[in-house]
Amino acid sequence: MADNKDQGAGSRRAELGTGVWVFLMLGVLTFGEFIVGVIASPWGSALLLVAAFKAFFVIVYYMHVGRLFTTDGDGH
Amino acid sequence: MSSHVASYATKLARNRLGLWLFLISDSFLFVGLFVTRVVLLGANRPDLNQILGLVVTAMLLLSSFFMNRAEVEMAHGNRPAFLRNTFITMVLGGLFLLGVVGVEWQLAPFGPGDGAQGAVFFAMTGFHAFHVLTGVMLLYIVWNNGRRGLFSAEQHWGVEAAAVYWHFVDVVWMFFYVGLYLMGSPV
Repeated sequence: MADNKDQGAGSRRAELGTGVWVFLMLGVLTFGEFIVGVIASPWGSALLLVAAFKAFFVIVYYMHVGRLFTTDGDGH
Repeated sequence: MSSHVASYATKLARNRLGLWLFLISDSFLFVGLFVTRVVLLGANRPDLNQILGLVVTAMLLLSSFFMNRAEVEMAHGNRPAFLRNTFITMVLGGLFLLGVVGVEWQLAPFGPGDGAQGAVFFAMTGFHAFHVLTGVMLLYIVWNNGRRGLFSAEQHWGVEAAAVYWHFVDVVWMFFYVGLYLMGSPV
């Protein structure tokens, strides 16, 4: 029983930790986009690539697209 | 009991598929708007306040962070933390709307009828803002249901659906931010 509680707390911490590092990465990339957009705006394609990279991380880690391919009611 | 759990898992899988199909169909609208921007404006972009663009973008990113926390907390049965994080997400969504519709629309040096850049800017931000507004309304419903104790660690599809929708709105803005504020030279 205590083991289950510890396991639950550990998984909660890990999930919250993932949320933090994804957010930090998105923040750094967005600030990088801003700097590039202000000083070298013709680099539109590169900026779109960065946006696609950011979107990938949100779709995988925040939207949990992987849950679509599980059949066991994962997470609930 | 086990058949109830099995039927909930089946329903959940169908709900997830339905939501993602809806989001894919909705994304065609946004892709269409983005392509319109590329065709009509090309290597130019509307002359907008870039600091304001960065600030509203940061608000939306931060709101996604708190929405993710809200979902994780509900999945672990921590209702007070879920309610707190969902509330913060709603406030940040409201501030984003205020920044775009209340400030950026007023500061823009053109109107919706002033040529291609006005049409593109107001159509893109308008459609997106409408999605943010519906997202905030959905979050309010989920927050209120959470307050009434309608979600549990085992069953909280409403929370998951609202979170996925909210992150989708964030993903759309990632591309719109580049298209409106960063790509090309200001007209």
